[in-house]
Amino acid sequence: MNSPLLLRWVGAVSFLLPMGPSPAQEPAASRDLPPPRPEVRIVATIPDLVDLVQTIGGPAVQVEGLIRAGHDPHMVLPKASLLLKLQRADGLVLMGLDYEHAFLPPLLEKCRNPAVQPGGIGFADLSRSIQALEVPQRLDRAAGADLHPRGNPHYNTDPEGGRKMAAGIRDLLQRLDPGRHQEYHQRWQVWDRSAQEHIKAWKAYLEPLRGRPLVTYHRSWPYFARRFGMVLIGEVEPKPGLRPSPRHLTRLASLIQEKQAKVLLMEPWYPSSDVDKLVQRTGLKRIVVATTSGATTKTLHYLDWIGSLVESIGVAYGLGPVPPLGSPADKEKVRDQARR
Amino acid sequence: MTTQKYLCAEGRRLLILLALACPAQGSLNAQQEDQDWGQTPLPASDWRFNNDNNPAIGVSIDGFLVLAEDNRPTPADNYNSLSLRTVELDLAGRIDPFGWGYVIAEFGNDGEEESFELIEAALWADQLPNNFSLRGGRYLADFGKWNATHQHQRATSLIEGARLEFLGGSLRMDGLELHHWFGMGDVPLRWSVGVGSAFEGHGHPILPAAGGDLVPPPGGLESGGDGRRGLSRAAFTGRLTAQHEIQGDGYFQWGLSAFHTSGGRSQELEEAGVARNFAVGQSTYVVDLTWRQADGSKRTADVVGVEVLWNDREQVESFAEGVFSASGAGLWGFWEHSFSPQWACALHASWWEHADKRDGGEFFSGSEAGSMFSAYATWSLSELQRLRAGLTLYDPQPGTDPDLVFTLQWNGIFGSHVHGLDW
Repeated sequence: MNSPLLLRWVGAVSFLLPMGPSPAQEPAASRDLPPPRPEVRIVATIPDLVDLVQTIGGPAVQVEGLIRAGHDPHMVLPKASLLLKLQRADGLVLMGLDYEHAFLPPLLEKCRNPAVQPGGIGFADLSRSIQALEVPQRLDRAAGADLHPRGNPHYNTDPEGGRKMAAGIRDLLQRLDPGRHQEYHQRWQVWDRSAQEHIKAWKAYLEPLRGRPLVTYHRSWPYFARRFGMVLIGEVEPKPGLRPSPRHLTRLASLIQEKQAKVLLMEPWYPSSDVDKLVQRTGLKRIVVATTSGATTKTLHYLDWIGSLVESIGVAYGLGPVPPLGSPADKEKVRDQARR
Repeated sequence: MTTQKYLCAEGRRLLILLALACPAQGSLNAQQEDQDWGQTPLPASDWRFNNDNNPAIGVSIDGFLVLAEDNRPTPADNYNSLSLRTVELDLAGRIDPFGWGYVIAEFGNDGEEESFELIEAALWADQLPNNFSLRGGRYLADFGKWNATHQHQRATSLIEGARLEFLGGSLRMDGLELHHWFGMGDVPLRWSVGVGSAFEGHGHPILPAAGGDLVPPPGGLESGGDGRRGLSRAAFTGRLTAQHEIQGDGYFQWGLSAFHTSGGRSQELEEAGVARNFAVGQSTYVVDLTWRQADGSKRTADVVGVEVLWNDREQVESFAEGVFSASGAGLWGFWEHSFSPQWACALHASWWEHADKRDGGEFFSGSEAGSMFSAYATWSLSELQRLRAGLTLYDPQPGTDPDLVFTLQWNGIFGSHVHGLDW
């Protein structure tokens, strides 16, 4: 490069420099951030996570789920199409605590995507912010077929757990796409504020039922029960993953009558024939509810699903409907605001 | 502690394990280190080797009751029997960041004598670039959809007749197999090629041998003896498969597989007290189609699988005649319906031309074919234990009365158990 040309470049650059904001004036968040990514691809294991990623991520984030809403997570087959989704993903959001043990380990082993491997930049095991309940003292197959060595993985049934899940998703998106750091934070903030209001209302609504018993088919609801002060008194499954024997059901029926339980929470995939006689004999109200959102049109979103469950239990125990936080239009507005 | 800050996370973990394993009576330094890591020094009686890095161990016991109406000219003494068919011992573990290995050994009992057999022992280099991986050792080859699935994991208790006829069960190789998978749009595809210096059919006879004789499976494969073997004695395999996702939680999969050896198969013949071993060739091709549909909302599932086999082989029946060509075709399929995770039923049908059929002009001549039809009911007490009752009409030789065989299989898995990728 000859010297006049060099001088011209130096002159041009020095002319332009004062026009930009000085480093001290520029907000820290935007000063060091790379430009936003055109698209962020996320794979989320359960429908709750899909909903939260969509809400917090907004239009720049594409999310695909691995477990279908209303389907038993134990039945998911590790098939090759899931492998392809994982290989092409920028991030993976999972429940952890072996929730996905039936299908995720062989897929992760084969997908060859370092970003979604444990320790990778796109790997988000949301259970890391959770204090797990029911961590077994010892591991023994005699204790059941569906064992979770690191504790009960159904923490999504606690809306406070949902808040932690949302925060984990926000962190993942900000890590993957720092250019939209602020956008993700704002969307999360709107959603989290709404979640806090809902939780406050639900707790007030279920307060009269504090200490009241709940019966469940599978041990999926300890986090929910703890949050709202209810007591799980027994399960239809004698041990996780096993179908009930008549003897076990007889014992359970006595317990239900003794404790005056009124509600049975049962996932839609379990056979109703297992509990028909129990329900008939004890007068239990059976509430068929999946362990994630999305199984029905009324529970497509995470907060709607928890809300619907709270109300079903309240109504079964003689409470009226949950007082509305706002009109459906208001709720939709909040959701739209979060998405934007 | 200056050295510790240079340790990577893995090294630190190892150090914690070592610290845990250290006897309390160790040096002062060791105790100091324990305390620095927040670990309480363990009493000497608790000193033990941590098993985190040991291979996973699994055992599968396959007990078998056979009740059969024996219509053969020389009835077998052990035709109606309750036997421990196999005990399978599985070991698997990561070797290092670059690969893992597994060993599957089988203690077998075919009603006459017990055996111990190394079914598989292989290493997988699974971190090669661009989705390539390499397997080496002894393994059930990537050949058809079901070849690498062990019998106790399949929908049928007895080995499918067509596979027994052309392969002697499952095709097992001592060699190397290169795998690669990729996506074409949203469709995952996979191919593999393998080369083996030795191969064999691995399977259990459908019924105990008549007259107490132990006979190998009818068309079983066996490679030549030991010694140096050139490429002409080697065997080659190849497979291409794709899995298409279908509505719901299901897939449709197709696959094309080939096995070829130009002179690696061994056939021994004895005439007038003189024994001779012939090196003969064989090619076998398989087209497999599988449809699976599961409904996780009801916990039901259906699987339909079909395999069409074409077999072309060299045979020897007399010294004078020498080697001649034979060919045959076979077909087998099954449908399994799971009503729930506990209950399932399955239907299976298999037809096959005999592997030594000389007239290869007609693709499939039903009149010369052996056949096998089965129905099964399975009760799974849990994911790891099941009882399976089956009724099989087995007609290996046209012109004779078929055998009616009742089987009751009790299968249990204990120890480590994982689900592999299904394709």
